[in-house]
Amino acid sequence: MKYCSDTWFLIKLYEKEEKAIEIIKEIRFGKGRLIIPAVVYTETGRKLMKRGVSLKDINAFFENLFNSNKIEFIVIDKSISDEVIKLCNSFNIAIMDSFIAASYKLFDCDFLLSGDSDYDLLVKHKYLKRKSW
Amino acid sequence: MQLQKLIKKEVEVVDKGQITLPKQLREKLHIKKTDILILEELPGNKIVLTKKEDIDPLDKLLEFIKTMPKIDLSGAWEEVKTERKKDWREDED
Repeated sequence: MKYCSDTWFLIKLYEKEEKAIEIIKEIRFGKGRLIIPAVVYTETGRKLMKRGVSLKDINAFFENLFNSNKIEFIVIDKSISDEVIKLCNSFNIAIMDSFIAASYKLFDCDFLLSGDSDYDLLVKHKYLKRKSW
Repeated sequence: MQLQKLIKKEVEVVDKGQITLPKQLREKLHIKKTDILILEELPGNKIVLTKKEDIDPLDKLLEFIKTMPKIDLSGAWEEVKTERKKDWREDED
């Protein structure tokens, strides 16, 4: 299973939520993969810092994630930007949501890990599948 | 051949047998929080600590998550959603 993480998932993981940990274990011990779009990385880091998490701990958290060859950091390149333009025009969704959805699409993910029901329009149009709890 | 300067320090054992690895040693060997050390007893009251290098980063992550202090992140996700919508609405205006 290839997952695309929204900020929601990384917050759940940092909160030590059991289901988020289960997904990391599934990736660790199975064939699962996870992609983390740049915007998700930025939003998560900012929120953790705002809640008083030290930069050292934030760096350790992300370092361990990205040291794994099963987890990939997705930069915003032209192909993603082009997909975002298409998405924004077709579905009229928030630009941050579009960056995440475009990353999901271009990296052939099976599920978007997100608690955001704003993606449901994309789910309805079979653009993506969303997993939350 | 240049001889490597090896570090030798005295450390005090405190509660529950804990010791602190000197900063100089941690920096030299790149030992950081969540790293695992293998402890080995040798003859003659000697103990050797070896940095375990071949740990999967996701195991380290799971260990890190287990040991990190609990942070109150309630409302963080709702804030993210609100900010995204705000940016979008400003963009639309």
